[in-house]
Amino acid sequence: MILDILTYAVLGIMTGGLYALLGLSLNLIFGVMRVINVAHGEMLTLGAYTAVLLATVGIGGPLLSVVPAILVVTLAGLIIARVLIRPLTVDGRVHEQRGMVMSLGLSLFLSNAVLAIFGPDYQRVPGLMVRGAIEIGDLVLEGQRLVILGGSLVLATALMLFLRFTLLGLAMRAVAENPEAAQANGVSVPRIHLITFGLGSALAGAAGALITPVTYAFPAMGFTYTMYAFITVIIGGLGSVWGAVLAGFLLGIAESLSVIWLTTGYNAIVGPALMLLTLVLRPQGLLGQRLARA
Amino acid sequence: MAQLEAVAVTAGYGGSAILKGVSLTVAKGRITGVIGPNGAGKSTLLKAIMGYLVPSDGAVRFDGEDITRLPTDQRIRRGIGYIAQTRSHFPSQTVQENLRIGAYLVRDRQLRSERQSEVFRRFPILAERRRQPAALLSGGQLRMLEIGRVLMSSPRLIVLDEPSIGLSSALVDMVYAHLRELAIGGMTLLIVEQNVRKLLSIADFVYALENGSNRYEGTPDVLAAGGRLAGLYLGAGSL
Repeated sequence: MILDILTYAVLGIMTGGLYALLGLSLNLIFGVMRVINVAHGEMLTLGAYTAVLLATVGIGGPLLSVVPAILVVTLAGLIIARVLIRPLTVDGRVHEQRGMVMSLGLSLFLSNAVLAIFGPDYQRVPGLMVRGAIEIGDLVLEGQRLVILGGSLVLATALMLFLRFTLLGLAMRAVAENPEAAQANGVSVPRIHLITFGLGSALAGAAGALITPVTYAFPAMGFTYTMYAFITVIIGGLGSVWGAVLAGFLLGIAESLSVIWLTTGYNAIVGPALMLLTLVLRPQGLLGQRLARA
Repeated sequence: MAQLEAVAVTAGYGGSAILKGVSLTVAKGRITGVIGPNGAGKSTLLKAIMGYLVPSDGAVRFDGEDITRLPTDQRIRRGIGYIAQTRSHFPSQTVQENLRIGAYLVRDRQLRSERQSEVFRRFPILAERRRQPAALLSGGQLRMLEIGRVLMSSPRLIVLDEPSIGLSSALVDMVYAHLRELAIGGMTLLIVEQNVRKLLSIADFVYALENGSNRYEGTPDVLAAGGRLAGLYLGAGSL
């Protein structure tokens, strides 16, 4: 029993890293741009299919698929920000409803574009899995899942350090807090929006490339991850970077542990249930602030 | 010589004009004031000057250059500093981070640290509280932070929207003493105020707006001597 709990907890931590990365990047886009990006999961889809495409020509492995996926999805993010989001921006703020409706349309467009190009089949790249496992006593840690966890942690940490210690990060935090005041210091809000969306999308794309070896890639895969990203953000607190990380791991662990008590297949209810519980008991999220932006 | 000029600026929101052809000239090295009752268009004028609002007609010129359609960050780049009425700072960021973002456009690290020392000399309390989030500062300290923040970019003109708002009269005196000191140092200031008495005590030239148009203009003593302002604004301004 103890071993079960430990095993599932560790599995949960591994999935949790992925949720944290998705929540973190969704939160970044929302925090800075106030765009409720329903197409966030599709950025993951694009990253996953980049990995699939590379695998068909024999290129694979964590670095060789993640780095190109980041590049491809960053480019997609920049184009989306420039072509679709910029026209919805008035006085340094993206129109909230239009931004969300736009991203809904974008989500449908991207998943159908992937369907048209790659077909409805489930794609696998098992050959590119990182093999091997680490055994600690009876505890077995699969190599590829460790790569997912490690990759997520590295990217999440890099993002935090970037936001904390670079001038661009400071400017992004300034725009998040008060776009007018940021402009009054010479920050170009359109430029920060562009960078933010590119960066946030890139992280989701990286997540897509990281998970492809252990899961299937299919055109509609993004939706599930959009949901998990939102659940993570709501539990952690809208706009809170640390909240997303904390909530990501909590969600991963809770979901994984639930397998012990719930019949397999029902554990998908854990995330939404935790989200509703959060909304009732602590609407601002675990680390969220009640303060609204000026 | 004119540092900043607004020429017959018409501007507003969603088609309805709040400003109907307002003009003003801000002379270099002087303190220019703008007064007027609520709704006269004072803040709208500043928004048009700062680029938060694009005029539907008229022009804004800075140092002779037409900046009417320039985005705000480009105006800052050209040497205008702006202190908004409220929340011109970043509450969750530390005092030092607020100053750092004030120097966003200053690439030279040496220059940044010199200016920061200068700000700390001017406002020692900011040096003491440099690692605290701005949210913990008092109202008067926040004004100092905002002035310090704007000085970090070393502007040639500082535009202030109601620097006295929300402050006790002792703190208003303190803020105005600092503004006067800046002016003595050669800084050009454009100040919009409800506190007319205070503004008249410091300004070199004052414009009075009413209903989105120029009403009076002149030096403070001429305006005060005419007695014209007393009934219109002084009552409301001395709250």
